[in-house]
Amino acid sequence: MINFQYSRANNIADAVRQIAADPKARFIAGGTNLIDLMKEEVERPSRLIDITHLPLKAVEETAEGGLRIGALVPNSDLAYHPLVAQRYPMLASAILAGASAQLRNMASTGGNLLQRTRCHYFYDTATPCNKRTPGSGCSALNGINRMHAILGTSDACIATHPSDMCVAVAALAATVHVTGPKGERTIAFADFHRLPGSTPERDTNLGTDEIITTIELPGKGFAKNHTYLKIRDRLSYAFALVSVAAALELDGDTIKEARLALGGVAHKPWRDLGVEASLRGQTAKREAFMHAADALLGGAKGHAHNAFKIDLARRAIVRALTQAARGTPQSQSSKKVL
Amino acid sequence: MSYIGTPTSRIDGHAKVTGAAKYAGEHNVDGLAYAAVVTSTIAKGRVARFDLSEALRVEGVLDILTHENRPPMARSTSAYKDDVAPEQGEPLRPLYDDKILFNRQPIALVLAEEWEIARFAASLVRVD
Amino acid sequence: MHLAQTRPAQPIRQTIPAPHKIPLSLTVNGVERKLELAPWTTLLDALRDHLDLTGTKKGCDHGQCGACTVLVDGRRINSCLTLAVMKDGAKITTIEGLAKDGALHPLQQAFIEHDAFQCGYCTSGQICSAAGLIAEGKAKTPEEIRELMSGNICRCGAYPNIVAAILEAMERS
Repeated sequence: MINFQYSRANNIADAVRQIAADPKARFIAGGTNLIDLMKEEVERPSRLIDITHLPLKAVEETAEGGLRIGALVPNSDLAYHPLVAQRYPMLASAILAGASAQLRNMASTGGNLLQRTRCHYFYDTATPCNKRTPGSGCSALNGINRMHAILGTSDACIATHPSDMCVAVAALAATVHVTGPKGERTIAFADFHRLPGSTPERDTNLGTDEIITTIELPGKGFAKNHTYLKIRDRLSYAFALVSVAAALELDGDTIKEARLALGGVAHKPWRDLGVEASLRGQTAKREAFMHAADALLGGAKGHAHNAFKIDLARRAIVRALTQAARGTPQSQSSKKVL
Repeated sequence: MSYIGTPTSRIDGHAKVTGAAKYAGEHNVDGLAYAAVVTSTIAKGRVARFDLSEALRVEGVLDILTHENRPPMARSTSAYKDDVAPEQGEPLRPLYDDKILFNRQPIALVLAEEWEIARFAASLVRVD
Repeated sequence: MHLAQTRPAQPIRQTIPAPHKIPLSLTVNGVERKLELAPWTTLLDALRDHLDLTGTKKGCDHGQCGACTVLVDGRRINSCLTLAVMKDGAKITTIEGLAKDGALHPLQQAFIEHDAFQCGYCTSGQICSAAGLIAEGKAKTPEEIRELMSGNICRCGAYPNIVAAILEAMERS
């Protein structure tokens, strides 16, 4: 770990002032990703700005019938919050599918969005990595890439975004509220995370001098027909090979609205509004689910060690939509996939 | 004997469940030094040269050991034989010479007054 | 060890200063402890190296093994991924603080009775994590206990006994 300065932010304006003054400074909240990366010397901030005392810890209903979640709400608090458990159970399920209980107690909502890839080449400062050092190359492309992306990749980077929570948040079509020197603005969740393109060093569209204040969920929580299905090498405490957040609004057997997002397969949660639209009006059964899967995976490209993810994702999508249609969401403690 | 065939609680149980049991690295004494290991970034080859100058300038660093300044070490395999050493193969001889035999082979040991200083100084060690 | 032989003829001036230390206060196992630590000191290292509370263990130092689990303000966390300065003012319970007036905590007693350890290195973390789990009140069945204890590894494989011990302690509390 390098030597760094430490300071606390007294309020949001102070936090913005501090980060704007030093482009190499970083906010720290839960620290579960940042401190790990600092120990590996992947992140080398000049200063850590402790934001844990900022008033961003509320979970409140909005006037539009949605939910506003403070950026500092711990992941576990969010998962177990009565309003989330009741109205957005898919979000609770996705959070509980990730990490460990200890990490969920520490990690913040904002930090969950900003966590970085777990690509082992990104972590290994002895290897070329365009995300860590732009222009140095991508070691994963022709290396060991079992955990890497099959969608939205470029020759510069095939890393995945590791979050489970974000897959559900993407499916719920959230809005991210941020504040910077120029004031407040909102970023549609679909536009928050970037694809690698030629600038894999940039994970998100958050300005370097901005802070996430809240995440806002719209009123629709799909509490009746939803699931978060995570396929991984171990039964617990492992990142996804493929994960699916699936939600439906049904009228009898007919799909009125569908949400479908994938994790473990791209640089951001993978969602396609066109695919969701094509499910509207269809009967909620296997044929429709298989078509949706094929459409969502269109353009999927496997690499030497991860081509299996394409078919795995296809089957996982069908299974997830089936679970959602039946109203039998995947339990995160009972590991049997029904 | 009455112990055979009856479930018996481990005699070290109390110490272990209360955190009282001391493991090897847990004997804090005055003047204890800390070490951070610098490892190779290649799997096979040689250390051409070290540049320890910046690392040695860190306040609190006591010394840096490499194959160039290590204490005398036995060369023969038999000197490392013990009850658990396998019959064949070579023992690990840390910092023995400039040969790299495996990825992340220890190649330098940074000694300092505090653990984090050792780790920080280790990050400043340059190797070719 | 002949370190004197390794020094160059001209001693190198140590011009890269050690970090500035920040004063902080941690209430550990009910006792207020005042410390001055560099910001890079994790809570784990503060406990083990600066407060000589070596009951909490360093396994992986990266938040993956759970051996460093302690309770901060009643919640279980990985102390290796927490900076001590960030916990200024917090109430911390380590394995050394679970027994009360010489009487073992029900979890400690249950771990002994169910032989829930071999080498014992994961044990402090398992017990503190289990204490946190019981306080959270979300696990009712062995399956749920396993899932909510998945952040604690045991290389000796004492898991079945760990789950049994936790179940018993949970029923007692």
